Order: sequence, then C-alpha cells, then structure tokens
Amino acid sequence: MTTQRDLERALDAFFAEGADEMADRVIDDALRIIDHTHQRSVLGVPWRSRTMNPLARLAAATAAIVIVAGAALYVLSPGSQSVGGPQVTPSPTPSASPLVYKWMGLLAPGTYATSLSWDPSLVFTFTLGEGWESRDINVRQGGHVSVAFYPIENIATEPCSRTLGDPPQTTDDVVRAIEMVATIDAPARSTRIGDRDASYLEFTIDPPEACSAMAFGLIKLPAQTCTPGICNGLGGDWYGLEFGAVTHHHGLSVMDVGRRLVAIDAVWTEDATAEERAALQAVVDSVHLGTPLATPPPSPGG
Amino acid sequence: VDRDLVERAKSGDREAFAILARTRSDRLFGIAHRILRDIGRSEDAVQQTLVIAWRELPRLRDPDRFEAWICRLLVNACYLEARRARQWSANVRLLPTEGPAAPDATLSIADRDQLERGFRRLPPDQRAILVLRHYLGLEPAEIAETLGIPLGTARSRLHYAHRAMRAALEAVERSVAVGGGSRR
Repeated sequence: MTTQRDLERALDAFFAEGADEMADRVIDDALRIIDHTHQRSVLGVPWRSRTMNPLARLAAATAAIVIVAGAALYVLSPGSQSVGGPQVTPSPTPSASPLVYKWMGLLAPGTYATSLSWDPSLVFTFTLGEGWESRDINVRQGGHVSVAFYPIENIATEPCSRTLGDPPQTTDDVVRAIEMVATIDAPARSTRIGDRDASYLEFTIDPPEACSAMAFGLIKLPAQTCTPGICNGLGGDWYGLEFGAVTHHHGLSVMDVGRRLVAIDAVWTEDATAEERAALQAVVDSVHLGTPLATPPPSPGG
Repeated sequence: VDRDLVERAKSGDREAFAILARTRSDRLFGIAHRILRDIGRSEDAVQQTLVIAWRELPRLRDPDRFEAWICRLLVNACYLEARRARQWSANVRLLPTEGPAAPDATLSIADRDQLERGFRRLPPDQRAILVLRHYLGLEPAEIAETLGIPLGTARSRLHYAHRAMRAALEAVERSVAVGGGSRR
C-alpha cells in the first residue's frame, strides 16, 4: 500500500527531473513576433472577468456566423483550391536561388541551402513544398513527417545509458551499430543522395523497459556550431528518437562525406498518409550536399 | 514581481517585456515540459504564451499578479498543445548534453517508468495540477487562484490525479510481489 506521504515524495522526485533550460532562440523568435504584434486595447474585457455580457456574446456569435459563412462561400466557390484540408505538394518546384532558412517557423516553398546548426563547411541543399516548418536539425510537415540532417559521431551500444562503442569509420559500421539496437524494417541497401553514394536502411525503435524516450540516446552528434541565439542553452549532442504509443519509422541514409559520416533521416509516423509520405520522399530526393564539400582539415591533435 | 517592469511592459515598452520574458522563460519551459513531456511542444507552448502575454498585458489589472497570470496563460497553451499532440508528430529531438539525469535515490527505474506511463494517461488538466503542486510546490488554494478555478475543483482534480498516480505506483508493487523480486 502506497501511503500519501510515499506518493507525495515519489511525485516530488518525479517532477524534479526534466528539462529546465529553454533555448534562447525560442525567446528570440517570440520577441521577433512581438515586434510586429500590437497590444490589445485596455477598453476590452479585463483579464479577471470570466463572463461575457449578453451584448458582447451576441456580437461575437454574429461575427462567428459571418466568418463561417464567408469561409464556406470561399471554400465552395468554383475557383477555390483549398478544398480537402491542408495541401500537400509532393513535387516541390525548385526556385532559382536558395531561400534563407528561417529558424523555428513556417518555410516558404522553395529550395534551401543551409548548414542548420552544424558548422558552415556542411551545406545541405533541399527543396520543400507547402507546409514545411523548420526545427533545429530537421524540417517537418503536418506533424507526421520529418527530415533530419546531421553528422554522426558515434552510435550507442546501450541507448538507455548512452554507452558508446568504438566510433564508426564507415557507413557499414553505422548500419551494423543501428542493426544491433533497432528493429530493422528494411535491410541496408545502396542508394544515392544527390550525387553521393549512401547506405539506406529502415528501422523502428521498440520502447525499452529501462528508460523513457527522453533518456534514450541512440546517436551521438558532434558539437554544434550554431549562430549565437540559435541553439544556445539547448546542449544537444545526442539524437533522440520517439517511441511509444505511435510507431515512428526511420528511413536513414548514411553517407561518407570527406572525413565525416553524415545522415539524412526521413521520419514518418505510422499514421502518415500516402501523400505525406510522398512529400517526405520528394524532399529526400531533392537533397544534396552542396559545395564546399564537407572535408574540413584535421583539427590539431585530431 | 518587478512591478516597474510589468507596468512599463503594460504600457507598450518592448524592452521591458523582453526582460520579463527572458527572466521567466526557463521557469515557464520547466512547467510546460513537465506537463507536455516533449521539448518541441513545450517550446511552442512557451512561445505562444509570450506572444499572448504581450498582446493581453494591458488587460492585467494588478501587476503583482503577473506571475500567476502568465502561468495561467502557459497552462492554457499547454492544453492546446496537448490536444494537438494527440495527432502525434514525427518528432526528433536533441537531447540534453549532460545525458540522463542521475537516478534519484527515492525513485527506482520501475517507479519512474510507471509514473511516466501513469502521468501520460492523465488528461491535461490533471497533469497541470500535479505539476503546479509538485514542481512549483503550490498549495491547493494557490493552484485554484493561478488556474482561475474554484478551490473545490482544484482539490478534486488533485485528488483524482493522485489516485491515478498511486495506482501506477501500486502496479509496480504488485508486479514485484508477483515476480518475487525485492524492492529497494
């Protein structure tokens, strides 16, 4: 029998664990939005009030009816292209020159050339259709598909304790290390990413008994060299994977780029639609590692 | 609360608001992360909270209530994010550099795992109330004030949330007893 005191103590300890530092870029983004946001007039309903007066309620209801009716007319009009929910563009059209990659926000359709949060010698070029948003090391669309770009430093032999083996030297080493800890859905095969040879395999992670997704660290990443304000405070030299109630599938392409192993990880949830999968594949097909090639000179002592 | 900063921000001083945002962001993120259990969604919730806080700040009558007010905005943003989370998302995340936190001596892995599972099954309002009680250390009356709900409702939600979490812990005890293993 768990006493109330035991329970309270367990919950105090449980909630003491967890992330306590937010990346500066999140606040920076919010402040950028605020720069273009007007404050509400104080003539409105003050915060304390929990009820609307009948006149305001009538006005709000009328406004809502007008908006809904207007939206319905727009959607049902013959020229409308927005019928059937969010648009998916499986075959994005490349733009003439790369667009500027914006952090943590919706990206306009087009071609991007970015180092993400990696050092500038690593330039990923990819083309996005409608509805993609930027994250730290990945882009995602509609909540069900995502593409992450990252160099690999090592693979954990025991992800819950983040125990590392010998650093992989080749793409085959990476594939073998993944095969040891993941459930392989499609065995490794050769493929091409842009004009480079790559090894491709598909896998999922079975939820382990020993740890939660927050602690599960499969892939060790090198230190990020972010633009100040982008990933400060995030730490982040482990690549975490989702698992649990919904299966996350990974289609991992690994390339040997100069002296580095670089991954393009296409992720989709089990409930991703065929259109979303197609949009994901279109992005992967558009990826290439642009110049300068990621072949940095060896650092002193390494 | 820095009353002067809140007053300045209320009257449209963006720099004052930026200071308020930067000094509160880690705490807000800590709360959001414990409710949502997801870094990306917690960041989104904090970002929404800050933007709404800026927009609505002129309506805050008492600057001394700023902390409770922004906490309520955050909890509401977490409710929205939690509803979105039901769709699930193809998430990847960068994990904290320092690696998994050292295991707390008062919690076994099995306990923590069961608490995590139990917590994830709770509706967002019960999650929020547990976080305010056990992470922020608020008393039920303070929780009620922060969330803008009657004290009885706060107590009732806390009771049901505790009951669910107790059941989660007792499930571990039962499995250990059946398996014949020893518990710390």
